[in-house]
Amino acid sequence: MATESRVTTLNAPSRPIGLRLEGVLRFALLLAGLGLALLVIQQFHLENRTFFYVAALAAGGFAVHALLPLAYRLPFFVALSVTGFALAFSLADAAWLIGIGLVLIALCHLPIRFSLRVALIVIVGTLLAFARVRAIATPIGGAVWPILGSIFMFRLVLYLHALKHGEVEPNVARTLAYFFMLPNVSFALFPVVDYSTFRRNYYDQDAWSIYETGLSWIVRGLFQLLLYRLVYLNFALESSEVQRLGDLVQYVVTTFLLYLRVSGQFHLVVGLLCLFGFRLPETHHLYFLSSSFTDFWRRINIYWKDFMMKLVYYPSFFSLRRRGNRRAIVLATAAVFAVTWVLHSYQWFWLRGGFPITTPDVLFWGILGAFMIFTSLSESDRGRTRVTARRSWNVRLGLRTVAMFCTLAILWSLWSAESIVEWMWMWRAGTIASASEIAILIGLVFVGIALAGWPWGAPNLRSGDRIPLYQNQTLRTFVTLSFLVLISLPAVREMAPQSLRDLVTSLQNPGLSSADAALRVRGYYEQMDQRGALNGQALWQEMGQKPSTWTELATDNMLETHNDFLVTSLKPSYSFVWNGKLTSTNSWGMRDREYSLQKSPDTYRIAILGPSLTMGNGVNDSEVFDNVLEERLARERIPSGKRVEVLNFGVNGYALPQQVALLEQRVFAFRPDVVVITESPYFREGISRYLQRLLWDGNPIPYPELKAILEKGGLYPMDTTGVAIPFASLRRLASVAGIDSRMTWHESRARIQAASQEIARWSTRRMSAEIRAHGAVPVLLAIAPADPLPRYSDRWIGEFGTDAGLIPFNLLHLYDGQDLSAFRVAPWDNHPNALGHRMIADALYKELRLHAADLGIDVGNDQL
Amino acid sequence: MRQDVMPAVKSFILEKFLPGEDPQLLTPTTELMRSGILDSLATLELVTFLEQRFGIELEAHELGGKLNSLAEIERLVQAKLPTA
Repeated sequence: MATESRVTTLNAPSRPIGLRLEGVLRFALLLAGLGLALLVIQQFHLENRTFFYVAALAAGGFAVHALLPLAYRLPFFVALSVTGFALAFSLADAAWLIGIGLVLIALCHLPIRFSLRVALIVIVGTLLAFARVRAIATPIGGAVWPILGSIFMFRLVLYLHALKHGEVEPNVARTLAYFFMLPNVSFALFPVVDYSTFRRNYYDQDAWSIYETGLSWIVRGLFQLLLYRLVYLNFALESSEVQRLGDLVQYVVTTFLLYLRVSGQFHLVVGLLCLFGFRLPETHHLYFLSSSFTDFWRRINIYWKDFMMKLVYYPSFFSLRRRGNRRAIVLATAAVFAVTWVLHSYQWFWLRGGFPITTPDVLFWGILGAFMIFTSLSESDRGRTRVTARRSWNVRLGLRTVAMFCTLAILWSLWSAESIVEWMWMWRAGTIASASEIAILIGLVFVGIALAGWPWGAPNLRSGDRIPLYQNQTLRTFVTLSFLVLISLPAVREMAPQSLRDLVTSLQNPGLSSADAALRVRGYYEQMDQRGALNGQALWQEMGQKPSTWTELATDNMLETHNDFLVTSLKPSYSFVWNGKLTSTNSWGMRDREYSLQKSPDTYRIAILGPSLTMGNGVNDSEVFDNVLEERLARERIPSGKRVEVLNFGVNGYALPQQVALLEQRVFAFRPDVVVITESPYFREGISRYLQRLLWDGNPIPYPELKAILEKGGLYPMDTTGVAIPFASLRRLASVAGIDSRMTWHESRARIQAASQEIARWSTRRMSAEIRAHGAVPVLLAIAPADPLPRYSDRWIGEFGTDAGLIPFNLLHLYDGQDLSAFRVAPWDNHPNALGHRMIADALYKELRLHAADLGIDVGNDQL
Repeated sequence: MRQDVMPAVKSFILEKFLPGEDPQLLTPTTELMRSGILDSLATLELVTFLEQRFGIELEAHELGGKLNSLAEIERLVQAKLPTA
């Protein structure tokens, strides 16, 4: 294009920068800023390791690219991007990705009719979709699909649109640069970049300004990712944690705030592209400060909005406007939201391999679309007052913005919910509130109105005005980067109070939040929902690394299922190699060496019950902590004059009620001196998962007290036939109408969650009493997977330990202050590895010695 | 047939979307879409105005990136106007 090349030549620094002092200075500042940004990524372990390499490659590439003559820059960017792909993938996978991409691009340019080209691309796309779900066998690695999808699923449509309207110039390097953009290597969730904008805005302004904007967006992205982590690790709640009004507000607000991750990533992507001359527009604009639904649509994911406007809204409106503008607006808006909903699922198909269509998803897009139609018609009739920077603080704007934030946060929480029932169930907590909670909430609303009343980020037509020093882009970039680097230094953090220090330390933790850790415990990570897809991306990323050969423990290998209260147990005398680790059971169905049922008088027996953490998922037989402990006690002749035996009764997935049954059915027969009950802060998840299965399978419950708790919670007897209808009142209505109804699966889960505390209390008290009645000492071993601990992780120990008459051994803080990845079986498996088990054994050894008198252990003269 | 497009468009935008703003601040290169002055509804209103005022017909694909400034609008309209 003649115009474009003229602009490009005028603005790009095509001369060597050494000739201009200002250029040298700005170049040096940019390099320094990128260096600091890399330091921040490194210090805070932001995103994944690939991202650090890509960022480093981009920074180095920028240093060369900016010095090249203009004609060489696009080819250099393409070469850099291809290098990035080769570094991030195996050579074979990189070749597949680029090869498939080249075929798709070539199809766009075939010298045949446009409609035939589109048809061919649809056919190839369909074949690729079959390969994506492995319906067609290919040697393509699993990591290729999300990136291939993110590159082509929308950009190909925009490229074809540009081709159709003659906006594609015959420039191979530009086309390759458009599809194989360097940041794509590490970000599967990628903004929908418009080809026409990508082409038109290339070096269309002063190059140094474009680079500086890029750096400032990178810094903004990093800052948003850190804010996301702050919220994600410290404030986000799981729906089962919502117990009162304060929790409910916290859940709703933080769920919305978790979107910071997406906007942070998009800022990074576009910022990196700006470093190579692509002056792309802002992707998000202060979306938490939207003052109406249409305003929100304009501010959040702007690229998606533009994509929908271009391909759906305007074409729909133009084809319908003969029937009247109002009707055309309604139908075009409805079409946008229907298509957005479908394409959202289409996007997750390429990223995750599934096509999620859930009720919350349908409701979210439906409600948002309805509000958008209503607001659009209202604005169409009455007009919209533009908020420009010349306006001062305005209470009406503050009220509207706070009201909109609350509405959107509630809608977002609905979208993130696993089910409507679970979401509605959570709102019951809103009725439980103290006066101080209400006062704090009112205070927060007033603060919100005071802040939101200013026209933040409103268009400023006075572009020639002098910018105040605090708004200077370069200054803000360096102040932010320096601040982040400083707080990442331990010496600086030491000066802060403990609570603040903990918060800052959490920013350097790339692990899972308690909510996602609970999801993992619940076993939901295999079928991630919207929340998992959008928000729990740390979990998603970890799961993405899991090789397809990695297996779960199942009935076709070591687990047996029963139609009784235990539901499952380990097969006796079974041995197999599980994910590379020798996993065996003895003749009693224990993951342990062989023991005789009879206990000799000179033997001191410790029986340990618990879930997978006790059973030792992910380590070899000899590495499980009970064996390590037994060896050490034997070596050190503790208890004095006795032979020690540590019996492992752990079974994968065992919840507290199962431990009750196992204890009574099997453990007491071995006449243990000490019985250790193992549980983690995720006891609710264990109980919920177990009871769901027990109740829905209709297995008998031999404990009247437990039956009474379940009956009180509306869970027993469980009717599993009839039409699933949520809420007891609706089921009563259905019954009047003669419809045979039953509880929904989600409602039963919510009800079990609500009763789980009482069930855990009953389980521990019963076990404590039974163990003492059998002459043994009961111990509660509190242990957790190698994940960041949830809030209030220690609270339950008092209630289920000391209060229930058990001696608590609190090993929850075993990994405090250490790199958790060193103690995990794998990035996608948070069970302790061999090193973790050795730490558990050492800690247990210390606890045994500490409580030697209570446990009746004679440690000889070597008292602590 | 060339017409004086920019003043008419400028006064339309000022009157409809920026009442009370200083006309001198709306320059030929002021970004209308990126700044939020022209949103989807405003774009449709502008399209109706351009079509009626200048007797031209716009197509949906022309709205995406060709109305972002007064200069771009003028260029688009001039290209559509019949040559004398």
